[in-house]
Amino acid sequence: MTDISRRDLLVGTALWANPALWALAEGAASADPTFPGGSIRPGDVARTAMLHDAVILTMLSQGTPASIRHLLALEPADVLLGQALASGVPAGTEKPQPDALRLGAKMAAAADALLQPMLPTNTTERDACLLYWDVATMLGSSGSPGPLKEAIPMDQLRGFFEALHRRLFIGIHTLEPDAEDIEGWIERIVAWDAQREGMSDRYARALATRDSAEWRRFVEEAGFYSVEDPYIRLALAARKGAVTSTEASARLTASQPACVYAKAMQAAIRAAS
Amino acid sequence: MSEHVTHLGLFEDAARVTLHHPRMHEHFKQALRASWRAGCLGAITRSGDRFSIGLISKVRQSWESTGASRALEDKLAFLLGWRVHQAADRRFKNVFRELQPKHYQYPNPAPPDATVYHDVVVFREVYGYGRLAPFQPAALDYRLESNAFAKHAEPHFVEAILRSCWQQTLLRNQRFLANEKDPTAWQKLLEARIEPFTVDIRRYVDAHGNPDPGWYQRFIVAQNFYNPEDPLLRVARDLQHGKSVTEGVLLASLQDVDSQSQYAQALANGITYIHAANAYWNHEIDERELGRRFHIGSSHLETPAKESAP
Repeated sequence: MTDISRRDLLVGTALWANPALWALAEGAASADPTFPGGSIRPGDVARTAMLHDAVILTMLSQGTPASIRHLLALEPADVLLGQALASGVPAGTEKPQPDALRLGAKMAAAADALLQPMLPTNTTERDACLLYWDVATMLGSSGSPGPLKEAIPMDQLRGFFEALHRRLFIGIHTLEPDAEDIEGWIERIVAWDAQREGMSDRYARALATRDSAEWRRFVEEAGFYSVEDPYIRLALAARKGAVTSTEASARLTASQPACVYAKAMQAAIRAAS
Repeated sequence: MSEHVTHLGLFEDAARVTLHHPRMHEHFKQALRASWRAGCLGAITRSGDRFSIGLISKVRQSWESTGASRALEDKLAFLLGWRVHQAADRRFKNVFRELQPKHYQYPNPAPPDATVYHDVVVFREVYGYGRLAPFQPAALDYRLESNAFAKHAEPHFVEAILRSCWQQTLLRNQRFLANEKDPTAWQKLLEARIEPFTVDIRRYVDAHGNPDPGWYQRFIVAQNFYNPEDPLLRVARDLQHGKSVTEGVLLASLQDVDSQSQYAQALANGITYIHAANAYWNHEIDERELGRRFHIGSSHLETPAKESAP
């Protein structure tokens, strides 16, 4: 058995969320307020998936300039890292390539400009909205319009995410500590782990509530995600490798996105071109 | 190379023995009871030899001056997990190199198959085929088929997205991102600190559901990797399942570990490291002696000098 291919690895590593959106999530991961660290929060799944789809379709689109396609194909990790790290990259770095970093930041900023106005201003509602965006994105990954039609026990819902998390623990083998701040890092990684597990509970509860006001408001009425949207259908096919570059290009130009997820994806794709 | 399931199993077994050991400091038991999860994280973290002495020194000093706090309990539990990780590495790294030396030849970074087989045995023996926390039976299904929700989402896509979220957030816990201003140094740190996902889960799925008989014989049976009849492992399982274990049985199980399986030996080594930490915590030994008992500075490929668990 071989190791994971470079491309698989890069696609896996790559789809970083927009730092501007991170700030929308509440709560610090660490006891040190000057360095909140990072934890998985509501909205991370939805926007990461959206950026993932935007990158794939940008690579497939023949309307994308050759230099950009080349950059995406050559250094996808750098492009996608740029979404998260562009603001923190010291000037003068030779690699990750500045062009790739800028491209990632540009795509994320374009999507962010479309997504941010859709979020409620109230902190609690914003948090719920982002959570239901995540849930809709996950259900939509199987082509289901959601919400769930059948009752699934909570332990199975939560177990789905915990099984995936355990696979990810297996995949990374071991954690790399912050050698410059061991004690602070231990505090942050403990908080990260608690938040990670807490998100499994929150996803499970949101999925279990099959007829919720939150789903109707943040997903259906807001038009966040629709499996009937032509861009979503194209993205679902592209994820499976079931669409050619020619076909993707034709469908991107012949149709217009209707749901929020697809519009944000289109904005990111256009920003790359 | 290390493996997640085995490291976690060893820590949880060592922690259970520690909780029931008559000579372990109450602070250790307090930390493990309050911060078990922190210990689990320590058990799966690299670089334990480099930071253990400094960490326990600072935690002990703070604990003695300010008393217990959740943060200190977390750090002490993490430290204990970190030591068990090192004990496992010292028991198994030379085994892996002997069994599959090609996996240690540049540029082949894939973990040896023996590590995968170790993990699926621990998944079965310690975690009941994944039925016991923190595992799930579906974790080693290719498409999580045994989970009732898995058909309602594309599990591999959700996994890929969560993987990305992990890398993003784990990296954001590294201070160099904001603090390091030198471009070359920043770049090197980025490459060093990013968490690569180097293990293809299909290797685990295959080893768990359809093991290669030759490899199983070679990596598990011939090596005596795990024997549920080992005295120490019987104690560990009894404690895990809430059965009572007398002090005499527990202490006796820690004797003559060389005749027990590799897993039992690694567990005993981890407990020995915790005893060393216990002695330091009690001011019975200084940092220099603690470093010697932790085998700081010795290669993971060397067989450390024998220290019997008290």
